[in-house]
Amino acid sequence: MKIRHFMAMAAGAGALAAFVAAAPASADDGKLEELKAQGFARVAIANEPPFTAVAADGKVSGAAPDVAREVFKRLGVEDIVASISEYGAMIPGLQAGRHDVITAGLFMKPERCAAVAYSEPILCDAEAFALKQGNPLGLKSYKDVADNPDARIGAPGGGTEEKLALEAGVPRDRVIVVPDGQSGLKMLQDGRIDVYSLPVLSINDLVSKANDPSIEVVAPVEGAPVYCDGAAFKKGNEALRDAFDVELAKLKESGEFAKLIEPYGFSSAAAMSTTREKLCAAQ
Amino acid sequence: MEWDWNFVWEIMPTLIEGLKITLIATLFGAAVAAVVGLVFAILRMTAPRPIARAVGFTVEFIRGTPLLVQLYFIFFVLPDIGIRLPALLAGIIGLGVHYGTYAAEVYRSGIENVPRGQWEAAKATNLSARQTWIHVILPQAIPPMIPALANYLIAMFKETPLLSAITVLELMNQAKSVANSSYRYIEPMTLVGVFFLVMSLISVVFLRWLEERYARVEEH
Amino acid sequence: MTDWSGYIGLILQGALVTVQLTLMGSALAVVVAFAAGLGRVSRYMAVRAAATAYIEFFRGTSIFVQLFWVYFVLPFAGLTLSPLQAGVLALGLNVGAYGAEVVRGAVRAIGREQREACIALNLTRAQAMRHVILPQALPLMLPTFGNNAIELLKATAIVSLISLSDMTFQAQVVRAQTGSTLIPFATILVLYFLMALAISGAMRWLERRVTRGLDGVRT
Repeated sequence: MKIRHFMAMAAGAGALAAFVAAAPASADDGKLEELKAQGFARVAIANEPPFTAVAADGKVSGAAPDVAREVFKRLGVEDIVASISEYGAMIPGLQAGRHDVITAGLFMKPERCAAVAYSEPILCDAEAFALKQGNPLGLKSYKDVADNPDARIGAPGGGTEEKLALEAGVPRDRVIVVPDGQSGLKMLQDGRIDVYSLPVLSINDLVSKANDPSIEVVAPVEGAPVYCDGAAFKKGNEALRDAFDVELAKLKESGEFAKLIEPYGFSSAAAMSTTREKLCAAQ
Repeated sequence: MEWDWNFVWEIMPTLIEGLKITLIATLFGAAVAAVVGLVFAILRMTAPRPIARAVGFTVEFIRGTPLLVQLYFIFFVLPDIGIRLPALLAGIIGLGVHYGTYAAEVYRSGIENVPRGQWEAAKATNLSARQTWIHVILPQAIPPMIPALANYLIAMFKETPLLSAITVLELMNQAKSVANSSYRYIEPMTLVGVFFLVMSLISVVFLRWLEERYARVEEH
Repeated sequence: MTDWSGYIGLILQGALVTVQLTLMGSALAVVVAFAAGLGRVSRYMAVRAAATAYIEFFRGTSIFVQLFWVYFVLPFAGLTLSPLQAGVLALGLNVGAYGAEVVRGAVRAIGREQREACIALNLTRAQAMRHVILPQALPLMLPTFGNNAIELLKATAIVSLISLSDMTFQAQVVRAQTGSTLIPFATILVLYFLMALAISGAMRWLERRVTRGLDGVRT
């Protein structure tokens, strides 16, 4: 019994050890070399067209991954491998080494700038509301939602809109965390929420696909500024970020940047007229 | 990243709010499961054959598919046919129906384990059906069911975090929302784990006591 | 307007991940179930204590919490697992803890006279376990193992929440693309049910296999 038993335990331990050994080691130095050697960069996306999208065949598209794919190619990293994540899980996932970079339309805000190393701005957009036809509650800003005790707002968990709603004073129990765009739209149609907030282009994409005349869009939301996202790297990977910025600047200059993002409806002029420094300082 | 005790105290009230919802969902879910299970069990044992078979299939289907998907179904699909339940109620019904199928099996084996002779003796002493159930069968069938039912109650408690997927602000969802705004996962996730562990350890002690008090129903 | 064949393909890809997770998770669960279950009946106090701690811990905390913990917290301890590894590890360890109790129960259900006969025949404890106890205990474990495997299958759905593209996850993707909620969810419900039926069928076959030659020994 003793030996059998020991063997059983050893087999269990062995299975575990095999598991652990298979895990990739993480290192901060020479991150770019590491990515080149591995042949791909792991990016976090959100499946929120037109920022990020997954097609029927599983192919990743959307403006943010397209720009990242192009920049990484120029840096010598062949491809990107995307995993879909909640907005709120992206930064913890980055810190936990789950992905190498976030390319998901995660807008720059001062507290996010403190948590990650952003590239220069890539995609800019204002915020929008989708709500029932005729806007029965007359909601035009996050403040309006806060002031109306009956208004429930849906927003992606950990996304910019959730934070804006909370900052405007909407209590936690009226900010409903919505897992994805389709759920948000459905909850709006079903009357579970009164307003669903996303960036303008995302809302337009969602509402035009739904083709539902009972839904209307308020864009932009009053009092919410235009935000821009950047590719977000882990603190400590600034060297990689700087290399990314150099290639990104070249793309912007050559006009290829515009060709990549404008078909999705984004303005390249908006991204080029501002800087990370300004956006991260803005309150 | 280091463990931060100040942060722990800061988020504790939020998590306790979530824990309350978790407990509400568990208690009401258990009540629904107890009733739904009884309906399933009675239909399966006494209804005409086609109905009994249909119920049997339904029970198997619910037991063979994930609760998470069933919750999505209740929350997102039912409104299309005009049934719009608030998130928490949808969650309670999902939990209740899912675990009701388990409870039905417990009821059934509990009742079937009452020896035939008891039924015959009841008939011989001229008891009515009602009297037979209340005075002979149920008093013998129920005690062995209690530990098995308690076991499923604990299992159900541990599945309540799934309700976060349909926007119920229970313990797990509160922890996630804390993590989302602070970018820290270590403390909230660990605390949720600790809450569950403590509650479970208490309930295990309680379960052992139940098992000693009432004979254990055969594992099916 | 909708490319259903493409979407069905996506869901089938997810089904493959679900099957993979179920098989690998079950394999890990069986290994740890035997290790911990036999550990619970060990002669050594330390082994018993370790096995008990493992079982209570994994049965006591929710699989959902364990998965999030493995995925988001373990990396800070220097252990970064891919979503698939995290999923298999959490599922295997969780269901293994339930399986361990089944192993223990079945081993203890083998009667005293069998153990005494082993001693009389001068078998070592290992020999007795291997040749006498386990062959009789195994048929007792199988039905519950079958149920556990179905529980594991159902639990795989939650890996969709750590962005592993299993069947539930792909159904969400399809839903986001097509705007239809009913069709993808109804499809995967049926697929899950078919998988559960396959598991119970396989377990019944296995039960017949292992009980062969044991006729009349136990009922």
